[in-house]
Amino acid sequence: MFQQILFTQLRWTRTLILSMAVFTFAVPMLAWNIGGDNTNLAPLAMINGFSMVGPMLVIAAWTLGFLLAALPWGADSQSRHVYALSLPIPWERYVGLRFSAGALTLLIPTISLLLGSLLVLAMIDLPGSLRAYPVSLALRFFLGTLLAYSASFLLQYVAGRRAPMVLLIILVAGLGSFVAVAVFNRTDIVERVVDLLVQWPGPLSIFASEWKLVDV
Amino acid sequence: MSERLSLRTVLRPGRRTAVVFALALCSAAASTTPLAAQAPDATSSLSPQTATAGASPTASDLRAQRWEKERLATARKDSLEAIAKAADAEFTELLSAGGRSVRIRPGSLTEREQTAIVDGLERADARLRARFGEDLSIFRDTLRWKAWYAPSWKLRVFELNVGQAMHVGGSQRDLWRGPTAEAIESVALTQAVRNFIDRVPTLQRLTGGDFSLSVGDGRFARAGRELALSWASAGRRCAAGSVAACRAVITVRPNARNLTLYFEPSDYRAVVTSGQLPTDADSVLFASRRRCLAGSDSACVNVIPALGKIPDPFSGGLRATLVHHALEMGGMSALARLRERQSETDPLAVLSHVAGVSEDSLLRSWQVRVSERVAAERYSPGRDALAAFGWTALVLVGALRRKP
Repeated sequence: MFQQILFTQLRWTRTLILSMAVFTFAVPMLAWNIGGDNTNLAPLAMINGFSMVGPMLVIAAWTLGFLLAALPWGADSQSRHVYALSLPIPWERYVGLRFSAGALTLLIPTISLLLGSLLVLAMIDLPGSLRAYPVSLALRFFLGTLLAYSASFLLQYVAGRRAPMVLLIILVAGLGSFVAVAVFNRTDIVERVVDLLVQWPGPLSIFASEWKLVDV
Repeated sequence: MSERLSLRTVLRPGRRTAVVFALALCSAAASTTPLAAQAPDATSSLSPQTATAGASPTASDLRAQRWEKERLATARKDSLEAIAKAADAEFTELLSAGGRSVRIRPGSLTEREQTAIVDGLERADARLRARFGEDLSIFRDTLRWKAWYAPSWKLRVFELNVGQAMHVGGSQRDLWRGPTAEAIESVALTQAVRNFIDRVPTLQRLTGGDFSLSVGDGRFARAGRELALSWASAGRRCAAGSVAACRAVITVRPNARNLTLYFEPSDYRAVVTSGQLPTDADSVLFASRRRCLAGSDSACVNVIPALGKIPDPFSGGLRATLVHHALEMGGMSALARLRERQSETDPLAVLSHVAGVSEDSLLRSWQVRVSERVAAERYSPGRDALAAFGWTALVLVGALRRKP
């Protein structure tokens, strides 16, 4: 059963997964090239480059996670979930399998990022004062995509067809409250909310610090 | 009648400072205008050959430009002094706190804010006593406390003016909310020692005025990062544990003659990128520079001696952590020992005397401290992974509870 669901998941999202895998494989090389203009020291170039490419990787993780949950839901939703409901398994199990299949496909761009990082690291000499973090970077990318995927999955499977509307309401409410707080000069409330989100154990804590392949 | 009223409104105490400031600024502008007006004259008086030369000004042109800059700087300094004098006239009320006097503008602060200032300064004095002994006479300074309402931001803005420089206390949040005892304590404490450090020319040069007594561990971690990520190999070698490299980082400023102390041949391209050739350098040098940037090490070696000035790869803040470390090692008698060597020119000799240990021991202990702080702040994904999996499980449970 899981194999079948994984197969459909891969079929519906293969273009997205493959293009993201190519992108994540190229990211370390891209960082080296971007940062390489200022100095001929490869590790420092890598650090400079990742300060620019790192945020791109974060955005890619969010986009991948969100789309990876939205695309299969869209396909299921178009057929009014006939396929899912006709299967001889309870709905909860089906959702669990669908979630696991999607989460498993996240490994493809993650492994691709790891391989790209290892390839670049094999080409440079690190001085004693610096260290490489290929596994840590890949793990953070995986966790970032997993979080975005989970959030999108929850939105789709709880709000159903109203998901875009709910998302819009959440965004407008968030922005509105930020504006209201700024107008009434209570920026401390915004700071507290942001702290709750990005500081451990907040849901966005994985995105809080910079994503780097080489660091001290 | 209406005229008298409007005049009175303009000259209300709150606006008087603004008027004085405006007048001072006008006088500054008036003093700088003739200089600005002279600029085209100076250009037009150049000989035809010089004018056609365009891109390469002669030595006399450069001298004239330098003089003009100096005159502008003097005019600006004069006007700033006038503004400061005018501001002083407004700060007539004195708050006494911990043996200090704080000048404030009458009626500008609430009772609570005045109490916070007094509390903060008393706490700062207590900490100075605990750290450097009972004699605080070396820290005496005149403080001015400013508070005003900024209508465009709908906020009250607070500033603590210590000696010549203006400082705002604590974080941005403290600034907007008004003076808190913690913010005052932090500013007063730092400024007291900083003013003293600034009176020792060697340390003033070493830190570039970027000294803070309330240095947290984060400052040491930043210093460690600065060393490890430096484009000068001396920094990277120091971060890796070489005391000789740390000595070079602290005592030497890079120039074309001491290049090997700071840089390896692999750094030369970065040196040429950071330094600038004089505008009147010949085209051969510019061609060498291009070849150097394209990857030729021998071209870099030719260009470096011609660079006017090689920028210092390390900040004053980094070197200030060594001052902080030496003061901590020196304990209660650190400042007294610093006074003994106030005129010494070798910063490492001064600091090792302050710390009461040899120069190598001081550098080694500083390097170890910096490395430990870097290691402590190194990112470890374990905790974040736990949080991410926790949130994912929560989300999955939520998704499982609803059917289409």
